Amino acid sequence: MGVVKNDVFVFATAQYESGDWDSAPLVPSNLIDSLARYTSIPVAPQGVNVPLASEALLRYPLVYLTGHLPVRFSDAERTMLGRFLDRGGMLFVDDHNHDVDGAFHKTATEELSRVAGTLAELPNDDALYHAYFRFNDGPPTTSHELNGWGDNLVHKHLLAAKRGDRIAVLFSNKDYSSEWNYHAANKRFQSVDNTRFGVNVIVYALTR
Amino acid sequence: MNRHGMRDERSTRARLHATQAWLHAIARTHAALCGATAGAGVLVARAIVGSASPWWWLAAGIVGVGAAALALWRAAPGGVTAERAALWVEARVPALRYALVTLASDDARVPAAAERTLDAAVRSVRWDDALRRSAVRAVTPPALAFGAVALLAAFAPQLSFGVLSAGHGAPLGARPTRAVLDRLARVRATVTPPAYAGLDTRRMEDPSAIDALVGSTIVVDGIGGAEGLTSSIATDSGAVVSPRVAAHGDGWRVALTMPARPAALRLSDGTRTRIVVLAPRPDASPRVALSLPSRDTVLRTPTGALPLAASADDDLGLASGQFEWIVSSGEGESFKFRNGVLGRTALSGAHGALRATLSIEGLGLRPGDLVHLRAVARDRDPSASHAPGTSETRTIRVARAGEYDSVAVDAAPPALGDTSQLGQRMLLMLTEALVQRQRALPRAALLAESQKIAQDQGRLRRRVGDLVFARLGENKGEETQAEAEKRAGMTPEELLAAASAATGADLSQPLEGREEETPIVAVNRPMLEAYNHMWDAGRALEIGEPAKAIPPMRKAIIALQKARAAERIYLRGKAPTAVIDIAKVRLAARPAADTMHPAPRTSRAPLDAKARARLASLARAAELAVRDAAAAADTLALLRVDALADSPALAAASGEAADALRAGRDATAAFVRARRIAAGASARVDSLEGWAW
Amino acid sequence: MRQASEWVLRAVAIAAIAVILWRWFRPPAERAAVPEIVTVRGEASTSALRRWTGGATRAGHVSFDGTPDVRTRAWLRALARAGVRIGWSASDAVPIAIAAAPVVDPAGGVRIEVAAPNSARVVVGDALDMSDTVRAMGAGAAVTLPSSADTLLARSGPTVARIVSPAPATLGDVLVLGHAGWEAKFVAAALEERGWHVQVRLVVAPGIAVTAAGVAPDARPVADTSRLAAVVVLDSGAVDAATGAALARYVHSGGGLVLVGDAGAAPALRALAPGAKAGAPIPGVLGALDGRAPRRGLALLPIEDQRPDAVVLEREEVSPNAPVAVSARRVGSGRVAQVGYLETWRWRMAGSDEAPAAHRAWWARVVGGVARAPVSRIASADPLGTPSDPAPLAATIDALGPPSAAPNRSRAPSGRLPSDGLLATIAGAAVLAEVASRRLRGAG
Repeated sequence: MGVVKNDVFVFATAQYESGDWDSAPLVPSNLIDSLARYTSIPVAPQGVNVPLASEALLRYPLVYLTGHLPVRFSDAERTMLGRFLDRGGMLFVDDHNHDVDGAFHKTATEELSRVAGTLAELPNDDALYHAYFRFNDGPPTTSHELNGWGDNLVHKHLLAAKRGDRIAVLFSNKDYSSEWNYHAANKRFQSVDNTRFGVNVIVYALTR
Repeated sequence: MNRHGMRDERSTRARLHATQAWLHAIARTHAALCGATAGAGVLVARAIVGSASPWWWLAAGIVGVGAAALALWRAAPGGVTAERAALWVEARVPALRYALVTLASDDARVPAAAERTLDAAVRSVRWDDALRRSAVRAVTPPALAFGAVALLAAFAPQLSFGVLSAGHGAPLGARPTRAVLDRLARVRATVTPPAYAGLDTRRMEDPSAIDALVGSTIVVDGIGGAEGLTSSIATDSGAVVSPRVAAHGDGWRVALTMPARPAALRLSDGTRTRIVVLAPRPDASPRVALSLPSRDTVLRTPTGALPLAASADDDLGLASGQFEWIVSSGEGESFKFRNGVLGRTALSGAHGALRATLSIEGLGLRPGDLVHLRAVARDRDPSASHAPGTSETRTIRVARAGEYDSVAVDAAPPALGDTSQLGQRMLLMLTEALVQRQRALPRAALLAESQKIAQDQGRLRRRVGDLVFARLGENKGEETQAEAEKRAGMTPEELLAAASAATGADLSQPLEGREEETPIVAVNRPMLEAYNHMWDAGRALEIGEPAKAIPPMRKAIIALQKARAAERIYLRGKAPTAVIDIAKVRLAARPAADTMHPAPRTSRAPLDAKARARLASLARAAELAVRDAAAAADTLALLRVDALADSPALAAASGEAADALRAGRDATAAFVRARRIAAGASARVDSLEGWAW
Repeated sequence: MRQASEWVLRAVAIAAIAVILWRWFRPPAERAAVPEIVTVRGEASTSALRRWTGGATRAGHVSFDGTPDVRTRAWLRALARAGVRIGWSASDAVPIAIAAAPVVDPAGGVRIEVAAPNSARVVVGDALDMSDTVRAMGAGAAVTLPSSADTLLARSGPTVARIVSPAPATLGDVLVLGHAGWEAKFVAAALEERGWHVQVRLVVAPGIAVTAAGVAPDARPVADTSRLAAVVVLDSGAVDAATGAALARYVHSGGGLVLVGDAGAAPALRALAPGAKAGAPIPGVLGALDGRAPRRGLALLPIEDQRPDAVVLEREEVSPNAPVAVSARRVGSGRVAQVGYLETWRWRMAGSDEAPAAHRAWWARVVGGVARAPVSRIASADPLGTPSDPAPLAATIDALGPPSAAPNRSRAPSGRLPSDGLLATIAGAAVLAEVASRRLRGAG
C-alpha cells in the first residue's frame, strides 16, 4: 500500500437497546478474515460495536445488525439511523431467528420501514450478487434454512430499501448470522467457504 | 272614388269608422312590434351572458310590454277617436278642406244642404293610399328591428363580445366559444375536510392554490355553462384523473378529492386553461410518550404489577390507545414469542392519557424472559395506510439465576437529554464567532463578550455538576444552601476527589470505555470529564482568551456524547472478541477465477437533475412573463406543484411570482427569490485570484 | 413716422433673413468650428446626434455621467470619422471591465470577473437580479453565479459593463483511481451526485478491479483528453509506472489531475505534484467536522516544498503559515491539484446537516479547478438585444480618444450673432408688424 495507511475498513456491529444485538459475536471476525483472504482491501483486524443512537455510527458506513428478540428503536436510534442512511451509509440486517413469523422479523421490518421506506424484494440479478463473487441464483442458501430451521422456508430473495439505485438497507431472513458465527480458523474444514456472500456485501458497500 | 276612379258609395261615417279602425290597428301593430323587439333584446342579452335563469323571461316580458305601451302611447296618446282619425286624414289629403272633420264632429251643427255638399266632397276623395303608406311606415321599421334582434338571439352563443378567440391562442378559423374568460376568470373553491377531522368547511374565492387535508372534498365552481369545460388532475407519478365538469344551476362545478401528493388541477374550455395547485396536508400520526415505566428495568423475580401510563397528542383528534407487549422466552438460538394488548381506551380530543396495570404474574414470565412494552395511539383517520403513533419501547427483563450482571432494581439514571450537548455546541459556535471578530474589537468589548459567554458556560457547568452529584448519590432536594455553596466553590480536582470517594472508584483515570466498570461509574465519568473541560473553557473566557477556550469546549462536547451513549445499560456479559492476523491470511485464498469477477459499477444519478429542471422552468417562466403573463403564471404553478413535496420555500416563492403575474403586479422580486432558492447562493470573492477557486 | 417705422421693420426682416442665408451658404472653411455642447444624462440624446448628423454642426462636446452605450459610441465615432470634431467628458465614469467564463461543473453556473479600481464597489448580476455587491481588492473581484440569464452586468456608479453569458462548458468524464474503500466510494458518489459522469478503477485484489461498464476489470485505464476531463488518484498504490507515464502525457496534453493523500508520492506522479513532499500526518481537530470549518476535522497530509509555480489554494486554517491542504500548478497544457486531506468521506458522513451537499460542492470545485473543459461553441446572443460592452470606458477612449474638458459655455458664437432660430423669429415678427401697420393704416 502507499506511504500512509488510511481508509481502513472497520467492521461495525450495531448495538441497539431493545434486543440481543450481540447474538452472533464471531461473525465480524469471520468476515474480516474472509475479506483479508480474498481481497487486498485494508481492513482492521478487529470489529467494533457501535451504539445505534450514537454519532459514532457515522464513522462506519457499513453496519451489521442482527438478533433474535424484538427490535424497537428508540427515538434517538431512529433519528441517527435516518441520518446514517441519508448520507450514504448501508445497514445489513439479518434475522437470527430465520422466522418471518417471529418477533425480530415483524418488529425490525416495521421499524426499518419507518426509517428507510418500504423493504421490497431485491431482484436476484442485482449488482450485489456480482459485486465480487458471482451468485447467479441470488442469495446463497444457508444450512439452517436447508435444515428447516425457524419458518421452514428457503427464502429466494433478500429484501432491500434503496436510495436511488443503491442499497441502503439490506434485510436477510436467511440467518447468515448462524451460518457465519464460527471461528475463522474453522474455515479450513469447509469445502466451499460460506462467507463469500459476506465479502460481496462488503465489497458492494465499498465500491458502489 | 275608389281605386279604379269610381266614387266610393259608402257613407262618410262608415268610411271614417273604417279609417279609425285601420289607424287603431296600425298603432297597435307598431306598438306590438316595438314591444316584441325590446323583449327580444333582453333575450339576446341573456344568451350572451349565458344564463339559464327563468327570471330573464319575466324581464323580457316586462320590458316588452312596457315598450309596447310606450310605443302605443307615443303613437296615439289619447287613443284614436273619430275626430283624430278625421284630422289625420285631413292632414294627408288637403283637398278635403276640413270637410271630413266638419262632418265627423259631433258638436258641429251643419245644415243639411251643407252636409250634403260636404259629403259629396268627401266621397269624391280617397285616402286609402295614405293609409297604406302610413301602415308601411309604422310597421316596417319595428318589424325589421324585431327580425334583426330575433336573429341575434338565435346566434348569440357563437358571439364573443370583446373576447376574440385569436387573442387567446386559438388557431385562426377556429370556432369561437362562448365567453371563455368569464367561465374561468373567477372560480370559487369549497373545501370540506374529511368527516373524521371535525373541521369546518371553508370557501376560497379565486384561489391559485388549495391547501387542505388529504382526503378533503373540494368543489370548484364558476359561472357559465358546463359544455366544453374539462378538468384533469396530473399527479407527480404521471397518473392523470379527469373529474367530470357538470352543470350546476346557472354555472358549472367539478368535485374532486385532495390527493395524497401535490398535483395540478387543470380547467380548460378548449382555448384557455387555468391551473389550480392542490397542496395536500397529510394528517400527522399521534405523538405518544410512555411515562411509566420510565426506564428499562430488570426484575429479580417475576412478581408484582407494573403501573403503565402514557400520554398522546394529535393535531386533529385521537380515537383510541392501548399498550402492546411482546414476551420473548428462550435463549441461545431458540426463542418463543407471545404478544398482546392491554388498557385499550377510547380517546377523544387533541390530548389523551392512557393508564393500565401490567400484571407480571399474569404474563407467566420465567427467568431470562424479556418483555417489550410500548404505547400505541390511533387518531380518527380511518384509512388503513395511516400509521398509528407509537411511544418508545421499555424493556423489562427477568434476571436469570447466576448472571454476572447486577440485578439491582435501581434502573438507569435519569437522562441527560440533549440539552447539555446542544448548549455546549452553541457556546462553541459563539466563541468561534468571537474569535473571528477578535481583531476588529477593542479589548474592553472583547472582554465583555467573552465574559458573557463565560457566564453561560458557568451556568451549563453547574447544571452538569448537579447531575454528576445527583448520580453520586446526593439528593438535591436535601442539599443545604451551605453544601451547594461549598460545591460551587470547589476546584475540578476537589470535585474529582469527592466523586471518587463517593463511588469508591478512581475517577482520575481517563475514560476509555473499560467494560469492567459498573454502569454507574461509566455514566458518571464522561460527565465529570465534561464538567472539568467546561471549567477550563470558563477560565479562559473569564480572562478574555476565547481562542484558548475552544479546545476544552470541543472536548466537553465529546465527553457529553459519551455520557449520552453510555446512558442505557447493557447488562450482558462481555462478548468474546477475536482478532484476525491480517498479514497471515492476506490473499491466502485461491478461489476459481470464474467466481471472482466483479460486475461493472453503474453510475449514480445526479442529485440535482430535479434542481436543474426546476431552474429551466423558472427561466422559461421569466421569458414568458414578458409576453404572456398568464402562460408564465401557469408554468410557475406547475413548478410550485413539483416543489411542494421537497422544497416548500421554492414552492412558496413560485406561488408568489404566479400570483403577482396574475394580478398584473411586478413579479421580479419573487422570481429572484425563487431562483436563489433553486440555484443556491452566489459565491463572492473580493479579489481576483490567480486560480479560479 | 409710421411709414418710416414700417421701412425699419422691413429692413430688420431682410437683414435677419440675409444673415440666416449667409450662415447656410458661407464656405465651410469660414465657419468657425464652434462646438455645440450637449450634456447627456444616462443615455445619449438621439436628437443631438441627429442634429449633428444633419451636417450643420462642425464640432460637438458630449458630457456623460457614465459612459456612452455601444450605439451612441458608434454614432459619435462615425461623426468623428465624418469630420465632426467630437469631444467628450465623463465626470463619474469608472474604469471597469467584465469577463465571464462557465463554471466547470455539471451543475452549471458562471464565474464573473470584474476589473475595477481598488476598493471600488461593483454590483454584479444579470438582467433579472442585480444584488451581489463586491468590493474590488487589488485588481478586481469575482462572483460565481449558480444560474444566470443571457446578459451579465457589472455596474459601478453610472458605468455599466455588460457581456453575453457564456455557453456551458463541454464536460468529459472523470476517472477515479484508487483501492476499494470509503474514500473512493464517496468521492465517486459526490462527483456523480453533482452530475459528473464518473469512471472508476477501484482495486479490490491484485489484478481485480471494479470498473465502469464497458471497461474490462483488468484493463489499464486510458487517459484521453478527448473523453476525460480529469483524473482523480486517491492513493499512491493505485497507479503503476505505465499508468503514471500515461497520466503525465495526459496532463501535458491538457488534462486535469487531482492527487489525493499520498498519491503525490507515487514515483510516476511525483514530478507532476505541486508539492515535492508530504509532511507528517496531522490529525483532525476533534469536533470540527460539524463546525464552521469542517475540513479542519479531517486528518491532513500537509503539502510541503511547494514548487515555484505552485499556487496554494487552501490551508489547514486561515493563517499564512498554516500547513497547506490544497495546492495546484500548471503542467504543460494541463493542471494538477494536490489535496492533502485524508478520508474526506468523514466530513460527508459525520458533518453538519449541510455536510453532504458541501462535500459534493467542494469536490466539484476541486475537480472543476483542473478539469479540461473546452468551450466548443459561442453562446448565441439575441441579435436584437443589447450588444456586449465588456469595458465601456476603455472602448469609449478607443473609439473617441481620451476625454477632454468641456468648452466654456459662456463664449458666444463668432460675431455675437444670435442663433438661426432667433433670427427667424425676429424676421417673422418684423414682417407681421409691418403688414399689420400697413393694414391698420389702410394702405393695402
